[in-house]
Amino acid sequence: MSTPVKFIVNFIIIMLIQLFLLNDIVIKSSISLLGIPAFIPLVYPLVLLLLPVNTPHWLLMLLGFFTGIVMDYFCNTPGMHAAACVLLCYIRPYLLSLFFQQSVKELGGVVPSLFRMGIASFLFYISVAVLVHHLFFYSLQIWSFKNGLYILFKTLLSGILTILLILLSQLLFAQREIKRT
Amino acid sequence: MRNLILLIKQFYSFFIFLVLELVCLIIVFRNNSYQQSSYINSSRSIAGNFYSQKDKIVGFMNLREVNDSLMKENARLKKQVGITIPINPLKDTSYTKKIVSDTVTQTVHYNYIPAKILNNTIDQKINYLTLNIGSNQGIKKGMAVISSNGIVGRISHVSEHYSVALSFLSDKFNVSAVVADSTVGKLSWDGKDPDYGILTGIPQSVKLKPRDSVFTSGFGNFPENILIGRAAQVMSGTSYKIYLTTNFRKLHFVYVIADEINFERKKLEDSTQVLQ
Repeated sequence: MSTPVKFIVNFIIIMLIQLFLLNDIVIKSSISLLGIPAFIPLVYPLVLLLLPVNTPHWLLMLLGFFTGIVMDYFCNTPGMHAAACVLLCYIRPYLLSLFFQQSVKELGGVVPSLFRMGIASFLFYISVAVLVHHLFFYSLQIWSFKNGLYILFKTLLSGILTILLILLSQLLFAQREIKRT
Repeated sequence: MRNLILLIKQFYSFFIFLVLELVCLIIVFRNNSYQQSSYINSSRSIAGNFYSQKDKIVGFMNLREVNDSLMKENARLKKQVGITIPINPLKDTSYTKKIVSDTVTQTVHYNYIPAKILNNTIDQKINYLTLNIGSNQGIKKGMAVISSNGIVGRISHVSEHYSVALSFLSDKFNVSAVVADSTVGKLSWDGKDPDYGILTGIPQSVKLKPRDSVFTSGFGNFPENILIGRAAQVMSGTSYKIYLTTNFRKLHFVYVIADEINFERKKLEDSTQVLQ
């Protein structure tokens, strides 16, 4: 599949899962920690994390903006998801150059995945990206320094669940072939 | 000039980042207060359609819960009315009663419009419910939304076929509440636990006991004497934690209350404020 088609398919599938499955479980699940609903994953940043390594930086940020606006539209949160996604897309190339052993230019159109990067690097990559995204999103949403601990608590709660779900999806669906030269 | 172009060329991604982030933050802060209507909300027809399609696909999974709640409500209503039901509830959902207190006669006319919930959230700071009816059924902005168990929220956006209600689980959503000895207080949500509300402004002389009922006072959008919840624990001398009788996790059907007389009252009150 060519990259744009792959992005669109990924986008639709992941958005459907986030909006129609996970958001429903958020309401229906009665799991709560200290009275706060505990099952609150936000896996949709995966759409942006799985773009090829050599995506131009400006395109990446525009796609992030678009993804966030779509999410905002369905969740009634004006601009918050979009702001968090743009930040995520801005830091993504720097994160990739940190966690890939080879330089980014040599890699070309490689998709960052669990089997390509190795478990440790991939875990670091998605953890940092997801936590930055969630921290920014929840800070914007709650928007008070009085509730600083609450923001951190929610970020960690949601972040850990999201990271686990992303790892699971990688184990199930990522391509396993590793080309060794 | 050349230097400027070079600078922009060198840091172009950072500039794009700044511009996009600025656009997002402008959207966030211009629509931050929930009274303002924002363009990004799920009463727009695309999102509304999406949610109603989803409801068609997965709606049957909730049938057991829906049936249970309807049966309970039926039983409760039958108990209230007795067996002789004067009006056919299937044909006429409007309801008129005369309240006679002292010598003042006041006619209250409520029209209950049943609605189905298409989408709901409980984990955000400001939560919204998407309903499957809109201006085509006479829904207007500001109408109260209740469930069979208690209060739910207030309509905030209306489109032709869908509407969005601001949930009680929202920052700065205040409900005027009254306790057993007609002391009026203010009920709001602390932004964390979807099962509890905070009742404030009860004088020190009034002591609420655990499981004391709290009702709406009728001063705000909600009609009077709707059960909101029961006192759970004392937080300080004047504020109490209230266990909400509405279970926001299991909400499927709600009633939107069209209260013409309340609208007339609102209009009158607003016109006096302009004159001042």
